[in-house]
Amino acid sequence: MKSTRGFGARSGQRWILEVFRELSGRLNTRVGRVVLGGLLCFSFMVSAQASQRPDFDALRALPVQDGGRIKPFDTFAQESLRLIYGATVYKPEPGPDGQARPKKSAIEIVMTWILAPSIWDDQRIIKVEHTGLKRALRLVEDKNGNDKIDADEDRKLYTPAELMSNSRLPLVFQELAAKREAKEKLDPYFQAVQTLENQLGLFQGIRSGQVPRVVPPKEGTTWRTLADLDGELRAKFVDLTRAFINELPQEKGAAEPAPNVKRLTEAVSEFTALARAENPTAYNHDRDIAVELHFNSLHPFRIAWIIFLLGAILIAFAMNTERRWPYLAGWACVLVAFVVHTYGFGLRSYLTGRPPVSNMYETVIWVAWGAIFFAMIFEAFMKNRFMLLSGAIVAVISMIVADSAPAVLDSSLQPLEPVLRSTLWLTIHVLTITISYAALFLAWMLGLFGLYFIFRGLPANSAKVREITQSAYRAIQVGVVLLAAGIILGGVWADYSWGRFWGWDPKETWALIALLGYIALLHARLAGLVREFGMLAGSVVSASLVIMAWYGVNFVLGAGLHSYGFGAGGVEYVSAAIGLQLIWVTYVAYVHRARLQAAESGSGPDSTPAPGKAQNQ
Amino acid sequence: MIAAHATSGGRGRPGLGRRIIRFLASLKMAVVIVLGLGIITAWGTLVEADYNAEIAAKTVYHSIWMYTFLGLLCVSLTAVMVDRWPWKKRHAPFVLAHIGILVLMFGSVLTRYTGIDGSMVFGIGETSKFVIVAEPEFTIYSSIDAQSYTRLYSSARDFYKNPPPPEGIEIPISGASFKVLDYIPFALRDQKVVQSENKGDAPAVRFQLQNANVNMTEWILGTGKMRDAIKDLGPAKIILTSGSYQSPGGENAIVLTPAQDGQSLHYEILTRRDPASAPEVKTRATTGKKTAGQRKGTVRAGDVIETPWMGLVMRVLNYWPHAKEQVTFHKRERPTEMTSPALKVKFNQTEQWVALDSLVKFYSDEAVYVVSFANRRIDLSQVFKDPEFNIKLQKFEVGRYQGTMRAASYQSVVSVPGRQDVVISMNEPLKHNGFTFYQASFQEDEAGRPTASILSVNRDPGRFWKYLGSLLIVLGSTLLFYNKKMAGKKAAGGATA
Repeated sequence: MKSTRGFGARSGQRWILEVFRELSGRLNTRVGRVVLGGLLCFSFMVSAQASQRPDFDALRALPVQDGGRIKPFDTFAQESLRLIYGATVYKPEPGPDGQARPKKSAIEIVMTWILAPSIWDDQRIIKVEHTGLKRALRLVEDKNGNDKIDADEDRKLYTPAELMSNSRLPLVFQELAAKREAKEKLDPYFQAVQTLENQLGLFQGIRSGQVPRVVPPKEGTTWRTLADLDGELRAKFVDLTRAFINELPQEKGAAEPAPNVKRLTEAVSEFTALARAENPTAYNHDRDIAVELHFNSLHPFRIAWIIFLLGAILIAFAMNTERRWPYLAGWACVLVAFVVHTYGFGLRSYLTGRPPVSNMYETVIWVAWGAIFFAMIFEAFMKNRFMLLSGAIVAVISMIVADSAPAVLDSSLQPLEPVLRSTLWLTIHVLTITISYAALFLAWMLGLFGLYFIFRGLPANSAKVREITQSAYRAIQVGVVLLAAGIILGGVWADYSWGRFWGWDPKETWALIALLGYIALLHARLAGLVREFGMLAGSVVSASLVIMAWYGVNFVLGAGLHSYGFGAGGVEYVSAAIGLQLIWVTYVAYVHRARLQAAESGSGPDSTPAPGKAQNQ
Repeated sequence: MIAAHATSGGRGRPGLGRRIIRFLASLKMAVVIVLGLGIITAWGTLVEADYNAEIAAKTVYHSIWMYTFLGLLCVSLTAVMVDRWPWKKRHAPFVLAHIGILVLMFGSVLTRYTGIDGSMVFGIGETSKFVIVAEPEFTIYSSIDAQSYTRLYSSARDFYKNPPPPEGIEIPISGASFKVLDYIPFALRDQKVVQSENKGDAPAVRFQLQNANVNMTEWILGTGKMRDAIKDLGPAKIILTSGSYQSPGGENAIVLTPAQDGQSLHYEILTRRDPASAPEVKTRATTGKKTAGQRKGTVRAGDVIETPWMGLVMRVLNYWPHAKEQVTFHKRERPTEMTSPALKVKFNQTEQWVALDSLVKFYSDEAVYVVSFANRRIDLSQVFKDPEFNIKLQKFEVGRYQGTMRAASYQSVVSVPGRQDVVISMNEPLKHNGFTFYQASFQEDEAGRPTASILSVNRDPGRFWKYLGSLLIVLGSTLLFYNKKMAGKKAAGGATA
């Protein structure tokens, strides 16, 4: 196995190793070793994909124009593979002997689409998930069992050939065109059709050399595509492709030729020198490209959540022991992860040239940051361990979601809609609103903890419950002030940009509804309508309003001025999560009430049911 | 005031006034009101997702329920402040926040009842002085000489909320019988060219233009004897004329002239005098009735004209010597961007549909009546009392993201009396005489060239109050939090504020 790894992956791994080595001195217990071992394995799994690919570093850095900006070829390849195949790494189907074949990086795949498109015609490379669409294309059996191409309902990947030759495809696309013509809202089925159209369009564009654009024009801003190249540029690109093919790992059995990384690097630099000569001022992104490659290979947010997870485990462990070191180690993990997180956020800000909070993915990352930020401050000043634990859990959950749902949360760097290009207002309004969500999610997690301890039985845990309630109350106060300020700032921005302070746009309206929910909760507490249980349950239930404002408006309501970030998917999972937590709140309410009644009718303070009994339910 | 009278110094039952205040000011009341507002608003967003913002505003956000709860909120906010009178220092945060909400709502009421919120659309090089506001008006004009029109009737009735009854609405105009029979809130306009028996009607041709890149099917309907119908399709113009077409030169055009036999068309191909883009017409042998790349000829329905432009061929699909446009409206359950409200109007025995922002004509023996259903226009020259006032769109500029057609920014360069070359861009409005002009969006043609700019125009007398209220709310709630933190440290739970 060739083990020439990219710089970023190598440094990222060393990073983790160093952190672990530092910790392992203190973590010299059995539990510690098990936890550590598990996490180490996991982090190797994360970076394993890096260890199998040959060195395409030079090719990765090739500047291309795509999606309204200049990006490294690496980013283009990953984004293309993600759109078409649904992942940034290609896993070939097992060979005829049933043996797994090595994974391939996006850059390898996309290069071979360009070089030898026909071999891909029969590979299952295009992801189609929507069952309705598969049925419309007769890709799955219909009710009568007619016209089936493949009866496998679970199959998600299709070959370009079978999709392109599908006789129903033009009809389906025509329906989409008609919908667009009538400017109707696209339901999930038509969103899936639209995705398929984009997938096939991009695949065809790449294989015909129309995408991406690789050489700057002598005048103007639109770069030339591969298909447009002529003369020496074309010759140099052919050189480059030859060098690339020599680099490809051979199929099993063939003798491995000595890799000649140097040749590919040379070929790429010859090509870029020629491209630069065309228009030196337009071909001037070396620094940005280096930063973006570093960002691509580092996966800072992935590293951050792994360390946050470790921190959360340590802090949870610290609660059940008298020893002090697990708590301190937990703090250290959270701090380290926070630094990595902030670093990643900074890189992204540098690349986009703005605070990266303009789509769902970016705000999820930012909310995770805010939750940890508030949790650290509260923890440091209030000495309440549940704060840091809750913050770390909120961060881990958000960042795992951001990391693992690329189809829903698009992590690619996208250009902004014109109205959002006023950086000042975007910054102030969006940062304030989303950071308030962070505080409210902190309260949500605290609420879940508090409910758990109420469930465990009150007299035994009442000190904890009181402490947690106090913390949740504090987090809600911060959240409410920031949310109110953020909504008002949104009004100011709207007034400034299009002269309307308030337009009943669903996004702003749901932020207001969430605010009203929390205001009702705070007033109810003032009035004595709710006490500890009510406060905790309220902070859990009201968090559903925030999820609706943040996620639901885009993905459930799907209408309105803020439609820039709209997509589809994941609705069933989010609804299920909210449903589960509502069931949990109701159940705890029932148990709690039953115990209170028992305590009232019973003969003294001892009549509360035993915690053990409750636990078994 | 009531509170001052009712102060009973804590002995016995408080006075009735005080008790009413207490009830209105109670926190339980506040929780009910806040939850009520939240539920109504949530319902509004569902209506908005199902229909659109306009319907949601009409049925929810400006409904009696919303107003009731907002009124209750005002009463409750006022009552709680009266109840706490005389205020102490610790009351400052909650008083500030609550006064802030009242001031904000006052500002909103001012905006709603005295403000103007509309839009202005003009093409490049054009001037405009009209602001269009989303308040449909139904108006009937009449004319005897078809030159000067007098307004007979005008109504701003909201047909969505008050649709016409089954028997229709009688319009009180003397000497003419007008009735509004029906209203469709979401009507999809369908325009069809149909063959006509009337010899006075103009001819119509349906054709297909096709080459490797283009495939379109279009109708061209003649406009009578006076003028030529011209359809500019980018690569070429199609012109239907009665024979009087005078080419300005320098254009790629196919000129169609109906022949006397009522079944065929004479055609002539005009080519731009540009040797690079217009090679000589190739003469290709074709079979049957196909015309072989001639500059002139005669075609019938089903025939093909070959052009010298990048293999473009024109196929005549239908030719009717007499045709007319028939407009029908289909009722849709949900609005889309293509639907608009439409009214069915009856005059004597004729019935016609009129969609929003259009007009129809009815003829009687003596007069012509024009029925218009259109959004209200505000004449800024009248508002400013300056008959000379208008805005001219000098230039419109679109910046695109590199290598794409995605707009990154756009701006209008306008001139107003006394000021030249004012740039209105996203987030940078123009302020003039108490009005503010914002860049909202633009229209472009099929080739992606901008053709018109759309400005959002408003006058907002409530702005100051809304900003003041916002400031007070933020200040108050921040102080509230700060105070609570202090109180929390002192473990003084249950502050009465």
